[in-house]
Amino acid sequence: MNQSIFFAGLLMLSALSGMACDLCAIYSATDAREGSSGGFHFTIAEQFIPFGTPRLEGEKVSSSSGDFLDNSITHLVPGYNFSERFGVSLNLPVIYRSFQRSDLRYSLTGPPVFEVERDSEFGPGDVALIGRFTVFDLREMKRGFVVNVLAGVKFPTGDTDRIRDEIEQTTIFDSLLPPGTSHDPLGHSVSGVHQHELSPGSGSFDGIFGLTLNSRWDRWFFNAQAQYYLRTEGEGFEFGDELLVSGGLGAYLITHPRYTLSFQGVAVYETMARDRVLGRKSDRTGLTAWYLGPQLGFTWGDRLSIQAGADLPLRVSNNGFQNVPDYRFHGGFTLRF
Amino acid sequence: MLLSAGAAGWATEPHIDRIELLGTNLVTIHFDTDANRTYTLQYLDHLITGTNTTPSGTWSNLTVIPATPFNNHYVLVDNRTNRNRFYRLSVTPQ
Repeated sequence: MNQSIFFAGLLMLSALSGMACDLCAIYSATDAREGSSGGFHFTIAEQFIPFGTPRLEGEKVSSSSGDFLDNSITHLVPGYNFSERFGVSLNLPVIYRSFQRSDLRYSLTGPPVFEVERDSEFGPGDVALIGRFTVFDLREMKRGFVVNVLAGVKFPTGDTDRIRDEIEQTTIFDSLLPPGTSHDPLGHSVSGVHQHELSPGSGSFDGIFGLTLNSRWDRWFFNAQAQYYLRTEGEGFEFGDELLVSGGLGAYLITHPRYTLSFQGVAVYETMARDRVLGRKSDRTGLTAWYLGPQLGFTWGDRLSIQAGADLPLRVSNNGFQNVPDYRFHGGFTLRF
Repeated sequence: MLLSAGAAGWATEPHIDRIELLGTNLVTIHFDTDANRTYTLQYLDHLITGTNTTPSGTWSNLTVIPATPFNNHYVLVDNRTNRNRFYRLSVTPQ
């Protein structure tokens, strides 16, 4: 029974995905809690999202710039469960972003220069500390139903040079316009890849809230979860709040005494509010998207779980001109000690 | 100032909306652009007088604005290095 419940928890993880996905990794750590009374666990989870599709107000457009962003985040998540009901996890993201962005660079001493920057950003992102509390826990041989609430804080530990540079460009561009001229705070940028999207750190303290539901009946299971990221301002930039809801039905394909294999179909809804730059909302940011994708899960014994999945965009509605995800891949493994 | 994408077809005739002094030694040049067209802002320092009042001479590129999928408004900065400077804006494809 432990393996089945354990695996159901694993699949709940696999349904979690997103651009800002601390809880994805965090909850992967908690899956090792299922069937255990406490102790340490460690998760490594990877997300890879290529932003290669330029869209203007939700419509695909062709762009000769060839701008792109390949976004990889590896979450290292040590955690400790004090009991079956309560645990904490630390999320240490390591970020690698390969990109090209073609943009005008403004200065106050001469004409703007059109630059094509092809480079990468690598480094630690914002560390998050998240607590889990199980508010309902029913586990029987044939069925299970577990509800968790999660809450935490994300700290501004990642580098923010890119955000500072974007704010500087906004300030310069603002100074070129006659006073009172209405314009977007990111009006200086013509690229679909903005500098703040490259920044490993947000520069802000953010609140993270989540609710997970994990149910199982015989070989079938259904998982759902909601995450909300409450953003605050840092370095003059405030990322828009983000809501991510996902879930889906799955089944165990193989339930060997030593290992299990399962498949799940997962739907994801994600919406990100417009960012604020120097206190002003930018109509070149913000996005709402629907994804659907398969998830595979594998467990070996009751201490190792592995999962992998992909999300394919069904509908993407974005503000302004942005590069949006082509697809999203996420996978990882958890060890319980 | 992000506008909706322009329809395919002839470009709006390019024109400079405004030229303003900025501080003591800078000038700003304002203009709108259509989607999917490349704009070139050029300048000319020395007017060669001819039979009409149109400045002629060798024009130099100040800034080339590559085509973007959306209409936009640009404000470009130039240095005031001369007593007179003329500007013109061209678009391709026309």
